Amino acid sequence: MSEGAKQRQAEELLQKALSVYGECEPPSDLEEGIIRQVRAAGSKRSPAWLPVLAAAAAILIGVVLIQDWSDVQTPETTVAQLPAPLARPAPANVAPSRQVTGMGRPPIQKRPIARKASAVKPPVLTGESEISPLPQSELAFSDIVTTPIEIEDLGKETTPLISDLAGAENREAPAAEGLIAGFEEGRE
Amino acid sequence: MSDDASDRVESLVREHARFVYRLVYSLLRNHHDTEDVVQETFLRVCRNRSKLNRIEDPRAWIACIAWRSALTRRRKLSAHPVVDLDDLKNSLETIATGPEEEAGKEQMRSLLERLIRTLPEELRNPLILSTVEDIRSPEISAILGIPEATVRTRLFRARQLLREKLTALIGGGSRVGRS
Repeated sequence: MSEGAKQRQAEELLQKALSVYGECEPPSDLEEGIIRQVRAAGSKRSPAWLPVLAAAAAILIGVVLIQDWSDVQTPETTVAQLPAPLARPAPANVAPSRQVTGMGRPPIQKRPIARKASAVKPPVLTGESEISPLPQSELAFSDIVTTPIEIEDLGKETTPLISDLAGAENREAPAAEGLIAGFEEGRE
Repeated sequence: MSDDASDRVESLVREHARFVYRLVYSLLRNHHDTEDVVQETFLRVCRNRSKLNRIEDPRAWIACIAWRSALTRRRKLSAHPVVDLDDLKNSLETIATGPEEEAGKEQMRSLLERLIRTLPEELRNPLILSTVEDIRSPEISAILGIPEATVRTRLFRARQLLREKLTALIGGGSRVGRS
């Protein structure tokens, strides 16, 4: 077979193959099946009232949390409201002025969130006697620590040069002589 | 789902489902997978029905969704098997000597399918789409996202390559030939 004949035959075959390649008969109930699926998918969607319900629940939870938080933050919150210490009665030998004034609900009813160290503010104690001054030693220490040191002062503390020392001696000599003279005059 | 949106999607299904089926089948060559992908395509259309008002050409838009879904499915199915040259020669012989027309068509489809697999993907996809009934170059261009001129060029090159392969097969097969 010549090359030209082969090419013609290949061309014919290709045209025929391409024409039959795309032939395809979809199922007769194709559309109905898809529509059923689409309707089922549509009906599976969440109902319209669900977002409203979710929003209401979120608001309710928010209100409860805020209320709880404000209970923790309120200034009337005292040590007496914290569960563990309040479970015991106040010792008999404590003066009335040192006793904490508790008001509010029994501690056993407090929610666990109130126990968080970060959430609970330091208790506010009532009564003057509870405010005690810091010990002297602490005051002194804090003063030392917090006293700023001037850079100029640091410069003065450096070791003086020999020439400076010599100069100081020369400058101090007349002053010493004056002092001695003054002292002798005073004695007289 | 509101009635309007539902009606719109249902009318799209009735209008384009068969076209989408042929489009997907041209790539997957399997009725079961094709049905799955067509359903998946229209479910996606349903989920994105809010965009329908902004779509200028719903048919091309749906075809694009279907083609991408089909490509994803084909990747999941398996890699292309290696095409055996002897198998192709045997197929060609059966076509030439097949007694029944339908059997011959089936053999011809099978032969072309295997020949198409040997083409590079950039030529293969336009050629496969061009075999789908009622599809033209502008739509192929929209589906593949390439210029229409490029579609025509690639179609020409793909056919040329197939012709060369067939010519080589006819020349190589001693028992193949039609007088």
